[in-house]
Amino acid sequence: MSQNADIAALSFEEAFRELEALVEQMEAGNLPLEDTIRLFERGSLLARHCQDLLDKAELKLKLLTESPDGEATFAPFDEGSR
Amino acid sequence: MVQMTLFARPFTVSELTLHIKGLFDEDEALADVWVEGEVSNLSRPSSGHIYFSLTDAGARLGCVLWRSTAARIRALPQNGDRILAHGRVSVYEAQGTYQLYVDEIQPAGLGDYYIQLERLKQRLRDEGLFAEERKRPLPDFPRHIGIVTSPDGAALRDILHVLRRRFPCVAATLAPTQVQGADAPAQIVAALEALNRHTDCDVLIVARGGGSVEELAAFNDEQVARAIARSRIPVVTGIGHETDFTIADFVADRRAPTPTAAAEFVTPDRAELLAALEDMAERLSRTASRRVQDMAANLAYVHKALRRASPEAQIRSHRQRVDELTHRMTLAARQTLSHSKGALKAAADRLHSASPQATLARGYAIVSLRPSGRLVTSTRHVRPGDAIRVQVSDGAFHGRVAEDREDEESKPS
Repeated sequence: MSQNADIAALSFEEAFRELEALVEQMEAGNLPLEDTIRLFERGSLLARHCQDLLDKAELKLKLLTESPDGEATFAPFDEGSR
Repeated sequence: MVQMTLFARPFTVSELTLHIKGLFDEDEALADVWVEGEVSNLSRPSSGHIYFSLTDAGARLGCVLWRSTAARIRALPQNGDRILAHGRVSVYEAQGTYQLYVDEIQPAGLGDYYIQLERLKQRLRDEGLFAEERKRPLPDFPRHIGIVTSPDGAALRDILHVLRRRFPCVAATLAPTQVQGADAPAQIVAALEALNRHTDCDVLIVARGGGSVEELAAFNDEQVARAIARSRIPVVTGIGHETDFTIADFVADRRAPTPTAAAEFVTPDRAELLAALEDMAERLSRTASRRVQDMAANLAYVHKALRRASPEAQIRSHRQRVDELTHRMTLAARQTLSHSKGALKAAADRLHSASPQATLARGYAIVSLRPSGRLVTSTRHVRPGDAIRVQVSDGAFHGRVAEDREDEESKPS
């Protein structure tokens, strides 16, 4: 499992693209059982990660303001207060 | 076009009219023109097309507004209105009149503004800022979307709603600006620059809800247009309603008709993605399970072969052989033994028949001297008067040797 610990940090695109490549790799050739299991495991986690990103992710919204001397400030944006 | 050849023969009316129409249509100024005047003689027959005249103190211009064009014009003209009409001038052959085919109408008083706007548009177009080849593709899966709009407007609400619905895992950064008024253009420029300078946004949305021409003016500003053109990050505009075209729209990498549509353009469709994910997960498990099944079948085959060849199997087979041999050996030993028993009995019988007792029983006697016990097997062993012991089959008795002697051996042969 530890070799899949990176998945949680992947962006949607990274996970989605890797999943696409992985499915093709599995369909393309007769991989050894060990690789098959490893890829299946990783692919399932990637698909789950993507799904979670679509189902559970909260839109992260920030407010960017720039001071006159060009200094940027990122603040949380509270829609409720508006 | 019909060649004007003098005196060759008279023109037909159609030929001449077509010739004149050709002259109008060749003229670029007449193809794209703004005219200001007062509306009169307006009629709208059942066809839905609108006919009217534009007049000023000295002249009259016939105008046509097709039904399809009229449908997207917000404020239709009324008799007496002073308006600014845009379109092309051409000839209506059937009436032998020229007229303005109107494609846009604005209230008069903006005349100068429109002229400036057209000039600016032309200048930027000439610079190549609207060129198709400048348009950059939008990311399939944005990670970070920059939004330039008012923090209080409906446009922002609409955009955020779409992002949450379609692709909530995206990050968004709002660079707040006014979207109308004198300060708006400079703020929009600053917001675009700040997003480019300080963020890793992969696409920007410049948005504003619907409004009048004056309210949308900031998005027709030259500096705003140039800031959009300069943006290193692709820009999508969603300004006003479907029919509003601003200069920002022409410069942008993609123009969306509304803020909502802009947000849709920059995000993938959640339902499609979920379907694609489901499909891939299904292919993944189908492939994996087929692979595992193949392997299991192989394994069973190999296992069988292996079992046949294993030392255990050999031992088992040897053990069986030992059992078999043991069995056969026991059997053989048993046979040998019973055979020997028979032989032993026969020998014992033979031995028995050879014993002296049996001989005695047949009438023979054993004679021995007393008291020495020496067996008497010859006449020479005894002298008359010797005490002897005679053993017969059931016992013994004593006697004495008499005087007479029969000496067979001394007889002459």
